[in-house]
Amino acid sequence: MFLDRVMPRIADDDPELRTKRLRSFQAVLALAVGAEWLARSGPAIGDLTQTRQVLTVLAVFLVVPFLHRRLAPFRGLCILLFTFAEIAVTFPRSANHFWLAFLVSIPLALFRPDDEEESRWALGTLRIVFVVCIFYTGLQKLLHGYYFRGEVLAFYISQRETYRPLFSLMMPTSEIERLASYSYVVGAGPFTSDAPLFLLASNMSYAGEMLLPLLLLFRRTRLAGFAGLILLIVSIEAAAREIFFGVFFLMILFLFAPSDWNRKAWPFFVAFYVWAILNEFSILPKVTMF
Amino acid sequence: MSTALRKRVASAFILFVAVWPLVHYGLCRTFDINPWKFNGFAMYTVPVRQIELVYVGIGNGREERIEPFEHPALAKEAKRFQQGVWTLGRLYPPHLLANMIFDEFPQYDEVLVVTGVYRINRETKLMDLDQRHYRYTRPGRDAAHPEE
Repeated sequence: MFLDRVMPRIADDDPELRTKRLRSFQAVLALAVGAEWLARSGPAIGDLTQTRQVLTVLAVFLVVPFLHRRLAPFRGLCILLFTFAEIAVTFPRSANHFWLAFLVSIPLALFRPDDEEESRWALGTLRIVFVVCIFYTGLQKLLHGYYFRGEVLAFYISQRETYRPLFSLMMPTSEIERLASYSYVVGAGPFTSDAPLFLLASNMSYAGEMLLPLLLLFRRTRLAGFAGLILLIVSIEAAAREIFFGVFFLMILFLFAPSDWNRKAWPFFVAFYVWAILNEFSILPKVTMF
Repeated sequence: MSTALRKRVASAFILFVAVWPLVHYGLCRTFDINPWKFNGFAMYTVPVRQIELVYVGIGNGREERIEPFEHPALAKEAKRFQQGVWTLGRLYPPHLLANMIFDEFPQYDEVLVVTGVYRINRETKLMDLDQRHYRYTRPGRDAAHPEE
């Protein structure tokens, strides 16, 4: 089979590291999906439908398979079922990273992380899915055609204040003010700018999303692709501020890190989600998370 | 489940992940489904979707605006239709809602539903409203099918 030849090249870590990576990823993924659902739905639990209330309670129970080694075989399956339920109850408006969480939980449920051959396939499948996902985010921007003259970025500068500080480094203040003056009405615009740096950034965004993930596929270029994608996510977060998505993206990207970074970053991830839950419950000063 | 079978399942899964975004793009172009939805990896390809819906009842030569959310019999389907247009685009036509409007308002012989999706015009770069008209004649009176 073609993939039998591909997997050893993509998941080329030694078996022990592969198993460690998969186990850590299971843990951070369970944390991400459970804590995010809790943060998003918890504050309004009284107003939710019964199905969503049940799912909010189940989010807490995602921790159970991690409490004992005997329950380890069920970890992937529990995450898969939970992410499937998330999509089912929010369909057709399901957030994109709910879908991504569902996709990455499939290899975790399918393969055993401590089996040498299966761990190769599990890690390889996860890496391929991530590469395909990022490549397509770039290709879709190219196909839809709203990035050549920066139309979409100009639109978001006009509609969301969070975009303006970053793009004020790339275009004159008068251009930012012009775009900010447009509202969502027929005839508003033009949603573009002639500022060269802005046009470069707009065109680099889809080009970077298409090229950088390909670097992840090969051992020699993996570190460059990894560093490039860290830079990309930092710049996306600087404007879009979709923090839940950003942290989740990092967790998957860490599957390509030189060592098991998800384990090393575990305290950071726990601290982040505790903060996120406190933030959404308005116990801390409110910050927009998504 | 054997390792070989697990591998076959994973291969089919990878194939699906690799092909689906192209199908998704085709659905966006053909039926105007929302690029942000349905896992096509097409977030931020277009501005977040904003829609406008207008309902008009026509009877005795008069045209009247209908506000379906103000009528309990229509509100649920009106909300469904609103969500349908926002997510599924032209794959969610207002056939059912039009029939319900005929049931609720016996005075109308025709119902016109206009859906509008805000887009940036590719040539002018100005905000535009892409409209689609669905015109229905009361069932049993001449044409029972919608004219677009």
